[in-house]
Amino acid sequence: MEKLNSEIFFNNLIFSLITLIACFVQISLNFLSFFVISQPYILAIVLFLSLRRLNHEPSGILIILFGLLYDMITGGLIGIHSLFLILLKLFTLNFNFSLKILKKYGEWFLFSLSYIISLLIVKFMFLIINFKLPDIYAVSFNIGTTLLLFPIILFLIDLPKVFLNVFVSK
Amino acid sequence: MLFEKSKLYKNRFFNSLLILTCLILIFVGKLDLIAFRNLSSFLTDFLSPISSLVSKPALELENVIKDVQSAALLRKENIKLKNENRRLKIIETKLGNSESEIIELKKLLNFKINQNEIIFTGRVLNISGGTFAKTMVVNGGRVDGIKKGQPVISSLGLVGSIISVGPSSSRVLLTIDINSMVPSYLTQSGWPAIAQGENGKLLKLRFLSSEAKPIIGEIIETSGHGGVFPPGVNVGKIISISNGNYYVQPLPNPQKLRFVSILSSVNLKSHEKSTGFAPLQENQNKINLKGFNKFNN
Repeated sequence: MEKLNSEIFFNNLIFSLITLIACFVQISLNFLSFFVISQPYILAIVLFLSLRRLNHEPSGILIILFGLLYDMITGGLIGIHSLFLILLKLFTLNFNFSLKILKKYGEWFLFSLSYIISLLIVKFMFLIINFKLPDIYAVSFNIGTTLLLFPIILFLIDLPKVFLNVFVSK
Repeated sequence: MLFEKSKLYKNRFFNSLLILTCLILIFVGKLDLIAFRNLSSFLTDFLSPISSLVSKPALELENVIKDVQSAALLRKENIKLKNENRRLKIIETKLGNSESEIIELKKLLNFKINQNEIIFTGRVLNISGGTFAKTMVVNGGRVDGIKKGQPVISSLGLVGSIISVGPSSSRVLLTIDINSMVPSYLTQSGWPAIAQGENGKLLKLRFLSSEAKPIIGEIIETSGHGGVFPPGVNVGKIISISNGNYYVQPLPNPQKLRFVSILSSVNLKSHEKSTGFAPLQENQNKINLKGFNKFNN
């Protein structure tokens, strides 16, 4: 039991560190002219991969706190990122159980589905709160770049494993 | 089996509780409590050096991209600049004459000029350009005399206004943010409008009279109504028209901004705030009956 607790703590600690770095990297991306309209959600990719790759899923309270922190750093509407990240977590876990999809593109498909649905729900909430329609082009650009960036990050994560496999097999 | 079912219900309850917490947070956030504002200012202040440090590679990468692009287009750019230089020299001579005339006429009319003093010029620490908020952090705060609501400009025009101030950093709400509204006017026809952000890269002109016929490329300037922004600051230029909506490209590109100036709002006291606006009308050879003419047409 004690071992399990320390393992959960360790997983959450790793998640916290990676998320904190992802927060700042995401903000820094806005200096690149390519992301003139909006920057991709690295935070969402990190959360998804943490849910899939870590042995124990990150705590919901921790996710809410990170969403809150991100909103405070970026000056956005408080709680909107907490809701987005929590929804992403719930959709990722629930679709994971109900969908039996191809293994090769499964993760991308699952991420796309969870990401788009949670983003649309949060955007709808945002619309209700602000009574203003946001720029559709910016939202679609954001979805597009995030979905394109996902396989690249996935490849970069798996790269050391591929190298090790090559060396070990040799 | 029973244990698994109870665990499932427990999970569902916990998840619902988390979503409810988020919704309460959004509601509380919308109330704009001072505690949240102070906490946000403190966090921005505390984390801005880290954010600035992490942004450095992206900034360097952007500079490299810019260098490569400019090197590739050097010859073309040179020809373009030479032509532009020639054209500008002609305009400069014309403007010099007009300017001296304007100064002379203003003196004759005893016209009071609202000159907003630059109280701080600082470096942009970070820009958050997500789809929910468009803000930037500047490395000047309460210590430098910055206050909430002060207008922020760059060499090209209006950038936004200060929304929160920390001890050594401040947050600027960019004009492209969905919550930003800038009272402006069309420089050629003089019609007033509100330039509203859409969380994209363009501004939308709202409350523009149906009689106004803006043209592509027309410059939009601040009108000074409401007393938040000083009059005559460049906001942007009209670049597209779709479904009867006019879209304005802000002149200062937030991503290319490295330095911004914060203006004082001392000269914009409440009694000086304008309440009405009379756009420059075309000279019509008929009696103006304040609105009745429209019904006659």
